[in-house]
Amino acid sequence: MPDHIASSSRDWAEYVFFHDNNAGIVTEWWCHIASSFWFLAERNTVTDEIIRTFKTDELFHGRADVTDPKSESK
Amino acid sequence: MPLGLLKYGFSSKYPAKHHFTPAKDLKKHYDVVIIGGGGHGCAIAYNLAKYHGLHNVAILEKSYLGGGNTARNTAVIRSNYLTEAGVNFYSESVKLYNNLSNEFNYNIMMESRGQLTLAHSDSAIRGFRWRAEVNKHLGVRSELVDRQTISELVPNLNMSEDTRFPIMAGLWHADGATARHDAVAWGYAKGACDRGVELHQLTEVEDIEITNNRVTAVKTNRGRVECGAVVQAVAGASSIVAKKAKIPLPIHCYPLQAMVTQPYKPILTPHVSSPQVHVYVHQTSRGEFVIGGGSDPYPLYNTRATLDQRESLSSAALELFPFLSQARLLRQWAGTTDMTPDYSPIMGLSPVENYYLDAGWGTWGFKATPICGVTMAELVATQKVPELIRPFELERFYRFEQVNEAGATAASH
Amino acid sequence: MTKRLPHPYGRLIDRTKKIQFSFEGKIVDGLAGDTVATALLANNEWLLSRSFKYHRPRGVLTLAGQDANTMIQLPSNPNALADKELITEGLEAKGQNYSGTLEKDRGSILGLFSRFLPVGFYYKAFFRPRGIWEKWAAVIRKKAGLGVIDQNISPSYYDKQYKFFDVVVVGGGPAGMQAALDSAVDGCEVLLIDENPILGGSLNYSRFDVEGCQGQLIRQELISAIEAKNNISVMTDAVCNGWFADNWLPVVAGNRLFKVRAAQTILCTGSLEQPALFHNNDLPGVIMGSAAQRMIHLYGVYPGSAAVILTGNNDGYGVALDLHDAGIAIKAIVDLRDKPIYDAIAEKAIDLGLTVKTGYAVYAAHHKRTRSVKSVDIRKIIRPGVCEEIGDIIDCDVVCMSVGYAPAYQLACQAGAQLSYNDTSAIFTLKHCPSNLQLAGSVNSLWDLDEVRSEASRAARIVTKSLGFISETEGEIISSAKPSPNHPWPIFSHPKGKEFVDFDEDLTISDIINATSDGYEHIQLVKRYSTCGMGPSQGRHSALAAARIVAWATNRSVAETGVTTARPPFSAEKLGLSAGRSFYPKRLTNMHTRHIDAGAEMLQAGAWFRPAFYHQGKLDNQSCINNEVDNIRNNVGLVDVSTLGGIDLRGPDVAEFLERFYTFRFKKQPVGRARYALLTNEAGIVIDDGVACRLSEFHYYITATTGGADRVYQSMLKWNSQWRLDLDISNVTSAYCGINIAGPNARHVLTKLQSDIDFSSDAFPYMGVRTGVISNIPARVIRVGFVGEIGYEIHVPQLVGEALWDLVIEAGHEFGIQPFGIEAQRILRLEKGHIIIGQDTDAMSNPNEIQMGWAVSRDKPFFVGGRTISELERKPPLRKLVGFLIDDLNSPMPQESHLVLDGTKMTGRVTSCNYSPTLKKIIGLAYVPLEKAESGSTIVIKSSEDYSVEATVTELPFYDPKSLRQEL
Repeated sequence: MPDHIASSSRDWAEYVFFHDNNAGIVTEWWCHIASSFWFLAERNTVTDEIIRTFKTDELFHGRADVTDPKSESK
Repeated sequence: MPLGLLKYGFSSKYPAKHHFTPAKDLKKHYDVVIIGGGGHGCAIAYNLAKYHGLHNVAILEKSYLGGGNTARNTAVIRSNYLTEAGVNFYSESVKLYNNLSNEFNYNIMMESRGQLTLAHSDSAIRGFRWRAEVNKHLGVRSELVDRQTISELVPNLNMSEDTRFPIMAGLWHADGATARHDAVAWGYAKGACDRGVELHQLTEVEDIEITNNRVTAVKTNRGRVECGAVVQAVAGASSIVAKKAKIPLPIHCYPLQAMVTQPYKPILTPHVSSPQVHVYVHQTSRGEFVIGGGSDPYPLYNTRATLDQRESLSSAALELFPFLSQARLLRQWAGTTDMTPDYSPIMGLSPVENYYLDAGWGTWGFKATPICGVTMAELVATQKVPELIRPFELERFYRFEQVNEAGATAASH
Repeated sequence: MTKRLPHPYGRLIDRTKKIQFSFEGKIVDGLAGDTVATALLANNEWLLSRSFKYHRPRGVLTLAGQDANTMIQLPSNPNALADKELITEGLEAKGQNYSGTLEKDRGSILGLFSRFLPVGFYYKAFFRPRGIWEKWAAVIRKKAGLGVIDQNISPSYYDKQYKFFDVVVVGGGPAGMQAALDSAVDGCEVLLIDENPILGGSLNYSRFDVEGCQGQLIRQELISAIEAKNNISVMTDAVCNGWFADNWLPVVAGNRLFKVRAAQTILCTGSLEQPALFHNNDLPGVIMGSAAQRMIHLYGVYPGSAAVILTGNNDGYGVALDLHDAGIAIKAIVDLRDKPIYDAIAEKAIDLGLTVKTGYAVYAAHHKRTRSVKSVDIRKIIRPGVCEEIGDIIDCDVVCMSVGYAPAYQLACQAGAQLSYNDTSAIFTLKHCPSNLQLAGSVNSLWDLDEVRSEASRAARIVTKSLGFISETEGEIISSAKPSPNHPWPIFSHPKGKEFVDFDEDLTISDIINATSDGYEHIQLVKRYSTCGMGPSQGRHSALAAARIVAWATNRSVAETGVTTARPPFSAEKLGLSAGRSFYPKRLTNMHTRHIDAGAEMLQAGAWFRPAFYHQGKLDNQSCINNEVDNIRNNVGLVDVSTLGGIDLRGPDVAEFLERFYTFRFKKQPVGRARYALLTNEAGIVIDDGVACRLSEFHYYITATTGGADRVYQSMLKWNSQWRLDLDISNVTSAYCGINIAGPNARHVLTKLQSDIDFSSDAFPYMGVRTGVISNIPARVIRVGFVGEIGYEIHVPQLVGEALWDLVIEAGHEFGIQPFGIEAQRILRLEKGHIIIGQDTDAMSNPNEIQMGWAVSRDKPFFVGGRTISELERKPPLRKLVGFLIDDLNSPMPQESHLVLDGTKMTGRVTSCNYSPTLKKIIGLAYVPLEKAESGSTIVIKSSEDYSVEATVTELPFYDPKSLRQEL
């Protein structure tokens, strides 16, 4: 996610609506429906080969803070 | 027998004339290069040549004529959309379709046997009534019908109350039609080639050269071609091609599968679909039942078929028509759809000055082919955006505006 | 019944069991094990059906269930394959696609016009003048299709079963049996699948040696070894009907679809004998050489009394020997080869003095009145495809074609293998199989038995090694030392045509060539323009010839020309099989039987069933609903709210999480209070709502809409797997059920219940939340006002819902408590101006448009959708959701989704509309343009056809505008 305060309107629009839609290897979100467990997968979008799957903590470490516009302005 | 066929019977030699450009080298320069030799690309070329005097036009097709989604779609033509922009656009397309065989001198075998969409819930009825009201207001034949009328329209439909989703009402679209999908691309290609347009098959665009925000040339596997303008009409590969011109698109590509049975004596006249059961069924002029449903659950650039979809389409089709259990599946196939956030296409100008977009066609591209040819050709030739396609410009997403057709596209195509 | 060949001919028939059935109304005698086709052949009946386009008479071609010539009509089983379907006592079989009788089909007149119906003729005519096509289409449509679907059947029972194996071997011929055996010896769990009733494949009918006994000896040896292994499962009469990613194999057997997962697959699917192309090559009696061998060896049927063998290889000589041994006269062996290299079998045939014409072709076949072949015209070949002007006529009643094979490539190609063509051997070969798939046998271009078995053993070694069962290497690739069985050009065009390339679609050589002349040169375009390969047999017997002809016509190699894509299924499969049994779960609340007992009319909402309203004696539905409304407004009622989503969130960061997830503020929300929670997505669109109840500092209980609960829950988990805030989230929707008790007397009812909760107004104010015990039932109680009266929502553990319902009914008895349903609830909430997400919102609704700006906090750092909402707020909204009133009760009531018009322009629509029994007016919600959103504005609603009504925009809520009643 780009900075939700600082990014331009165009950048934000691209974040919300646009996709890289790569033909090749992508990292994407998957959810195991039965357990509602979210994980990440590297997958080839041409061959449908799954290269690897991994837990989200590999990409997201520790508590994420969000930019506070009020603290920004201070 | 139609008189037109007599010449084939009485001539000792087959009176053949190549319908398309015979294989030849690419020229150094074209006024317009159209990337993609499907229905849309050929329609744009045809309109440029026939109505705008642009003959130095090349259609570059990486595989064979009409071999992408033109070859894979289930040939449904309809205009019962939800938004004003959508209904106006598609109903113009249906009008053009009605005259296409005679315009081409080539039979596209359009048959208006109507389309019935089924509602199995109160909320579906509300949605259908909304569409019917919008459609009628804009002059499209579309109406909410009750169970009695449904039984009359499709006497062999399973109207039992003891099913998973009993049928409560329907949306009847008398203008719903089908056509021989390949013939649409062939007719346009033939008409374009007759007027000097060059169709180059097995010609893949590998790179796009841009200087000062203008396209100057495209590089292909058969050499470099300079061009005055470029139109991309490559549904299913839109993001890949646009990326060569550094244009990001709000598209995800999903496979859309369908399947067809062996031919049987005709017993089903209209096209029947159910968004809730996720299926549509129609019987072709050959007697085959074509069965399709929703897109695959995740993005993929691959037209493989899956057993999952075979199972769910079969079971859904049998919910509507239990007797189809005895029909034999002949073939499963898939296409690649460009899905946009609002289920509407992306047409018109792009951030690159002389580069035009015809993309985001999801599951609704085939029915838009004629009007797309007319409007995109007008845009390329006059540099003015036709009113009919202005709502579909790429820029709408940067304004956080959408033309939402989500409710009018699910499983109906 | 005519004579059958003596034992051991007829491996598949049981001569002791006679079976009688009928074909075209005529009684036919057959034997157990006979197919419809073989029983008819035993009675010298060749004619089975009529072809698709020209209604040509057709009979057996392959006797392997691989062609469409044998499609017949069985009861509730159209397009059945006569050479696959076994006869049963009393079976009524018929031909297909004829008008009149099968013998005298009026439709066959179309054949006379064939020269007026060139390839792609539909494209070239039928459209002038404009509009005429639809009339032609109706005529053509009557001619369409083959068999007749029985629309009145009660579907048979179909089901599915899963299976898992180390190795699945598809095809039980010599290669498959050997591969299965070797894999099992190495320790794998193996499944061996064959579509025939018995294992053995070509060993059961083909001739591999001069004496003609080697096939059975090897078969016995392999079968004994297979039977001795308990780690081989064998399925016969089973078809592997496709290859899907990761060796996911649908195997069809009887009425069951087996879904088989194989770690490794070995395809031993064999090869399909291909027809020669000559004038009238489709006549009944013109068959594959292997078909004749199947007739003799499998069914003990005489293919005829006088045979001509058309061959391009040595296999045709084996056919000749087989026929000769069975006592059938060999009129000639017509060998396309000018200088054949004979093997021992061919030499034996020559030694026997059979007539051999080398360098000759069958140029044409002629038929007798019974429509089957009576003679052939054989001619000397001048150059490939061209014969001398004059030939010899040879009388015969069967023609056997042995001119080459095409691999059964379908499954391999579905797995990603590529088909290439070797111009020297004139064979299609398969390359680039994925690593979890091996080929062996004739699908891999090997026909010599020793070579086939060695290659099968090698394939097994590759597979078992990759699975870790063995470590030795697989050994060298076997390349055949034998000459190719394929003749490169068994294609002889005739001035009168009728040299069929595609039997399904009645396409001849000139149709294919003319398609290329019209400019349709790519093989896919040839297919689409001519329909070659589109019929029921999907090009099994036309792909090779079509590729050769197109290559010739367009000056390319066959390899360059290629074939069209092989799609699943391999053989046509009844839809009932993949549909299987249908499992559709229904969700019933714990109080379901109480609703039924109380006379509820149930309404389906997704998988849930909820009471719409309760019948009251003979009262009409609307009055029942209005009475339910009145009872809430004036008394007390209860409604089952168990289908609402419930999500428990616990942890120090719970309020922080909710602030990021929902639009409102939650950090300062006091314990014991509930707040409205509105959810938007990243595009700023409203997607769900609910109530957030703070049960303790670190514990929230959140409700979500019935349809949205699972989605909301998953979305929460997804966001928090990125934010990693300190909390646990669990979906407790099915752990709780709930009742809402509403109405002026609601508190009186509750105070009658034994509880540790103080229900008094001061102790438990509006939007308060309490946990406690009601008659020993642990409960979460929320004071909400959806219907606009004093209301308590009581959530209790799932299993005690019915008990709670009973308690409340009993306590409310003296007040006249009545259950109410969704219909009354919809009216009550509309009177209060509350929206329903999904009904009053659409895929574009943002909070400001639906007057929910108050529920959006703009002074918090972040929430999902927040940035986009502020982008949207830079511009005035295009529309607003407002309330409207229609005073005139005589005016027709607009329906939900009717349009709001400004002149002729569509400017909005009605989302909710109902008669309010409380206000005695028509009220509703509608999207209107901004300039009409002020209260007091008049809007025009187009209500049904050409009738419009005027309505007045009104402040919400309609009822109890100051919301005094719900806060009492």
